[in-house]
Order: sequence, then C-alpha cells, then structure tokens
Amino acid sequence: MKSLYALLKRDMTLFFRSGGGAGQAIGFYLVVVILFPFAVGPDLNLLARISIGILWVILLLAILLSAERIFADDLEDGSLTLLITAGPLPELVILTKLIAHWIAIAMPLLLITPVLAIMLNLPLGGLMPMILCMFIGSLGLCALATIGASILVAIRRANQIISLLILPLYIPTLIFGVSATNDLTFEVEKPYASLTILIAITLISLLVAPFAAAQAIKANL
Amino acid sequence: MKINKISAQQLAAQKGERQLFENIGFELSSGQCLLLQGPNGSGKTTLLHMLAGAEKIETGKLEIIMAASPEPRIDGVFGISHFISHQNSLKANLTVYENLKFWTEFLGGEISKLDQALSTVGLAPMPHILAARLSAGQKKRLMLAKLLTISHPLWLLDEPSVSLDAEGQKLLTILMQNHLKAGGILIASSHIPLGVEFDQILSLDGGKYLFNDDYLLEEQNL
Repeated sequence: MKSLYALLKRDMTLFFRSGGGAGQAIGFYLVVVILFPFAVGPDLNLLARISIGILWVILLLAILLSAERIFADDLEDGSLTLLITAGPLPELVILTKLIAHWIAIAMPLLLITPVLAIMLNLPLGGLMPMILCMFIGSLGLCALATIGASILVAIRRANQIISLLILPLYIPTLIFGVSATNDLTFEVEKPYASLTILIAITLISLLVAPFAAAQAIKANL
Repeated sequence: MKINKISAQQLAAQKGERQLFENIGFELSSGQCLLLQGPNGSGKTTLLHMLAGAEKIETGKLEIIMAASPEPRIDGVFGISHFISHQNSLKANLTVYENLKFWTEFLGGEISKLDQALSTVGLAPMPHILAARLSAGQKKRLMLAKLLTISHPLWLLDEPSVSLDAEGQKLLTILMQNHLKAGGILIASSHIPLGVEFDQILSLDGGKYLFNDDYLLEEQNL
C-alpha cells in the first residue's frame, strides 16, 4: 500500500513539474472551447444545444492525446521494468498509474469546466450533471487509454496510433456520457437510465484495464 | 530475507534470427558471485533481464531457494532482487533525494537509511538538486544508493562500473564485498575488473544464426 502511495505521489509530482504535461491538457481544452463560439457564431440557442456534446468531445480528445504519456517516460528511463517486476503486483501498479493519470488530466479539466460552460452557454441546470457525468466517464476513458498505451508501449510517438486503436472503445462512453448529461439536465422521464450504463461502462473498463495492460506490458518489456 | 541458493538450468534466448545463447546453467549459493563475460551483443543483458524477471524464460528453468524454506520460491525473483542496468530509472524532474526516496518507498526499503546512503555514495552535499543536473557518474552513484537503502539478497548488475570514476569504482567494489560478506548473491556483467574475486565465470560466445545459410550469404554480399 505504501509503495503504491509513493508511486501515486511521484507521478503527481512529475506531472505538475515542468515538462510534465499538466498544462498541455488544460491548454488544449481551453483553446478549443474558446474557439468554438467564434466558429459557430453568436446564436446562443444553437450553442446551448450543442454545448454538452462539445464539452464531451473535447474531454475525450484531451484524454486521447495524453494517453501515450502514461507509460512512455517510464519506459524510456527503464523505470517501467522495475515498476512491473520489482514492486507490488503489476496490476496494482498499473491501476495506481491509471488513477494518477486520471487525477492529473481529468481533475483540472473538471475544475475549469464551470468557466467554460458559461462560454458555451450551457444551461445552468446542466452544470452539475455535466461535472458528475464527466467525473465518472473520464475515469473509464483513462482506463481505456491505459490499455491502448500499454499495447503500443514499445513504439515511440505512437499517440496517433493509440488514438485510432482505442477510438472504437471510446464511443460507448461518449454516447452514454452525452445522453446521461442530457437526461439529467432536461429532466426526462427516466433520468438515471443512461447514467447507470455510463457507470457500468466505467466500472468494466476499470476492472479490465489493469489486467490487460499488465499482460501487454510484460510482453513488451 | 536471506537467500540460500539460485540455480538456472538450460536457459536459452533468441533475438530475431539469432540464437543468443542456449544451455546456460549455473548454481550459486549464499555469498557467491558470478561474472558474465562475452562480446557486445552476446546476450549478457538479455540473460540479466531474464534473471530479473523482465523477460520471459521460454526454455529452461530458474529456481530460487530462500533460507526460510527448502522449497523453491514460487514468485521467482519477484521482490528479492536489485537490477542495475544501463538505463538509470531516475526521473530528471525529481531531485536526488526524491528519486531515492521514491524507489526506497516503492521497493519497501528503509527511509531511515536514506541520508546515510547518500553520503556513502558521495551525494550528500546535493540532495535537492534535480537529477537532470547530475553527471553520468553521479547518476550511477545515485543508483548505487538504492542498493543500500533497500536490502535485497540478489544483486543483478549490468556493467555497474560504467561512467564511474576511480573512487566510484572503489566504492562499488566495497559495496559488492559487503553484500557478499552478508550472504548475498551477486551476478554481474563487466568488461573491466570489478575488484571482486568471482567464484564463477560464465562466458557467452556470441551465439549463432538460426537460418545459417541464407543469412551468412546475405551478409557476405554486403
């Protein structure tokens, strides 16, 4: 347990040091959200209607683009070999790295979402559902990103290939994430149906990812 | 945690079309050391990777018997070995102290030994310098500090003397001698004398190509 906490702490520290990439995801998120209203035009109703979809797509892209980082640095300096072979169970190590990545990438995005939601004219009642659904969905997305990153761990600059590889897996999360947010925002008849499925997808991804990634990394070391 | 014996039988490794080595075997008991020799590319690092558990053992077997029980260890080397390779496993953006602290915590070592270890390897004056600013030799010393804070009975060292200065090499020799005196087992690869009397020497001859004919012809044409 102590080992895993040390790993979590190290990954977080590295992430927020220079060159760690914490700014990258936030920067990307900010830029796209700022550009969108200009591109779509000043129609507030239109923006309100598409804002939920936009925020989800950008969250998804931000996680996709950072997927490679989960293991790349550790592979390069040889840490990965030690992390997988010398410490606690590899599956737990990977789960820890996954959670560290999630905290580092998704949390900052969730924190600035309220500000960006105003820019996209997200309905006021939609803010809490948006954050709740993104909170759950992003964890699942990070888990899937971990699988992709582990399969292609031996290939340098594999970001685009990783994106292509895990894109199909992201689609269910996107569909149910958007529909769960919509349902909660506009208070439809059964508001929790999509949310339940979103939670299920996240839990399954979270369960499968450590085992799949551990096997993939062992084969690739 | 004390180790009693490590024995390997009929290990073999293949890289692409090349058989690096086959039929490799050795047996070391507590306090003994083994030197791996051979030209570049003969599979010394691959063999150490196999022993460290970083590469799968396809043929042959590896048995480790701990002092606590006569049965071979189920986990193999998992959690009892130090592997120092040419990759330094240090994070450039963490300080000297943070790097050592992380590995010590992660591998279940003793935090209380940290300062002592840093001063032994000669890095005591610079605990708060980023690892990025260290020279190659200093990085190596920092890696050696890991050997002191985490006491594992099996050391696997891949060219441990590379980039160390004369004083650093003396330090390495002392570390290895102390480890052997304490009943540890040491397997190292090196091109230069490490200052330790090795009990056994294993020479890897450079292997052979599996698809001899075509391959050699192609090479000759080049």
